[in-house]
Amino acid sequence: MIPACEEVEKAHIELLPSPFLSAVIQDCMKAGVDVTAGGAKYNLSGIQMIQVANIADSLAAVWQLVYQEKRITGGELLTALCDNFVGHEVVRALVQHKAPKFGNDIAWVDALGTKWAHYFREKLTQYKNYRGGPYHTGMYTVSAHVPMGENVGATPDGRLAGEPLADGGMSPVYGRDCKGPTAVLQSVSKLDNVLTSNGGLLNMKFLPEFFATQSGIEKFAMFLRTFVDLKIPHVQFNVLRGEDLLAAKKNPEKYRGLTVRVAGYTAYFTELDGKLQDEIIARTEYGSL
Amino acid sequence: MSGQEKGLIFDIRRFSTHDGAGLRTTVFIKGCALRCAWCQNPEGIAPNPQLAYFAGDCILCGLCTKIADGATSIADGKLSLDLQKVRQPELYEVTCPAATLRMDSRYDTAENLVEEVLRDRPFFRHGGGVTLSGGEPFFQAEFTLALLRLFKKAGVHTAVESSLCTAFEKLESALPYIDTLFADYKIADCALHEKATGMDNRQITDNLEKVLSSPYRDRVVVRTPLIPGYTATTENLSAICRRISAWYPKVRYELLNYNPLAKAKYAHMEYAYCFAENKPIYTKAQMQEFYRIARSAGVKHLMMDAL
Repeated sequence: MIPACEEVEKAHIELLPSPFLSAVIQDCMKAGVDVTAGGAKYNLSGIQMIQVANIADSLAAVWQLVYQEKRITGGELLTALCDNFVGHEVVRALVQHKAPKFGNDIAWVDALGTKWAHYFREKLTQYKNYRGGPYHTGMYTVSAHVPMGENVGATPDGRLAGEPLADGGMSPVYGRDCKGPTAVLQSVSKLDNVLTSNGGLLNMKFLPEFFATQSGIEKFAMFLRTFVDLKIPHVQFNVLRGEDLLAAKKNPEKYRGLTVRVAGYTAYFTELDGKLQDEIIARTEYGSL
Repeated sequence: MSGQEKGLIFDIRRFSTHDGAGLRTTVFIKGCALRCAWCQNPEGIAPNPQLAYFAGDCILCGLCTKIADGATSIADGKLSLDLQKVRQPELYEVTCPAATLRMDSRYDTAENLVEEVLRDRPFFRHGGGVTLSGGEPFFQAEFTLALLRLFKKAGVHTAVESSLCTAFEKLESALPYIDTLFADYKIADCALHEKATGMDNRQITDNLEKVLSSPYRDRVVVRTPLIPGYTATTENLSAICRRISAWYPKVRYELLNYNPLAKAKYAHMEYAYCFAENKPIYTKAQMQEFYRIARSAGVKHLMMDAL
């Protein structure tokens, strides 16, 4: 990965110098060197972690079912993964339903995500980027969890080969956060903010009905205040009904104006790739519980 | 009181937004003496843990059919469960890999539950707390009292949703630990109440009068769930409102809109739901009309936020 990053940075120097950006970044003007060529005082490069929730869920399943309960052997699980769970439906059901998941405020499962994210970050400290600066990490996927998922085989959390990875970067795998949005915030708050120095992203979807009453709006405000108290670096909301998105996918001409938050930007839903549309539809919806 | 009291609960729901002020966690306590024909939580009626079947994720693996009880069978691509034959319910829960067969409730200590609820304490700080619901919380009165005491000791706002179908002494001992008591008053007429809920309302009426005459009456919100043909009649709402406003003119009163979603829960229940053909929820205009009836029957303090 590091040599590949270096090639990209070399290409940036040659093909994408950014004089205007350099003009507003400390020391570039003084040194007379473009930011892409290392003219800045701080020469950071950010690498994003994707699928932290899948790692936590996968390791939790292995720990619980293979080591603790011994319901399946490591060999059986490996065979099931190699076969993309085809013919191993019971194994898949077990890892999906009989092992705890990230995002439900379960300390030991959340800790698995944090532990391996730190491991990755530690490894990166051994390297310097092409401009001589350090690598740091972020946890946001924009939409990359969809194409990247296409290149990842079946995982021990029950995810099939090619399916999207956990969205957002900090978000739980959609549909697996069964304890509601407060538990999601608690779990995500366990991720050390040093892991997201290059940015983090948490996606949440609420139903419009939730905002229909004054008290619903007040309760949402309390939710946001607690989000701030918990020192989570980012959250973004889609306030939509799943059926509306399905209808928009089917009849895009009627829904040209429908916008959704994707990642740090808002996009017209009908202009998104079909797979990304499906992925947004599948995100867990929170309504009035 | 040690916190070691054990109780049977069938759910803990965080981010509860309809069970009191702010963001709350609701603990559903199992068991209820009433059999309301429209019960929204029929899984909370029986006082014991039961095996439940949640068809959604069933992969028809057939592992449960090998259990000696022989309570499950697969035919035409569907699993059927005969609860009468179940002897070892926990075994079904352990065996089922997809968690579609699972126990509907669990025993736990008051101390453990309090700890679990307090996980959302950062949210309670902005106005919120715990709500005890059911079932009927006073069906396990000692346990409910133990929970309430521990929650108050921890400084958490407490709400209780109750039918008041319990001995008054039990209610009385809990009142000092309840910040908001949501007291259901469903049907004013004694005979109609018995027909719809399996019990007459003498105890409930008596308890409500006592509570509304007690020093805690400002902590009470009387609620009537609007069930078409059962509770949502002009006659019934007028009678309820005349009665409660006579007991306490400043009584707070709330009408709960009919919830058609409850019917779906009865698919695998031994009880029948009140409507074979479901009814729609009431429109805003209809709700306003119900509140008008309540106001003209003497209730001044109407909780109308849901409108």
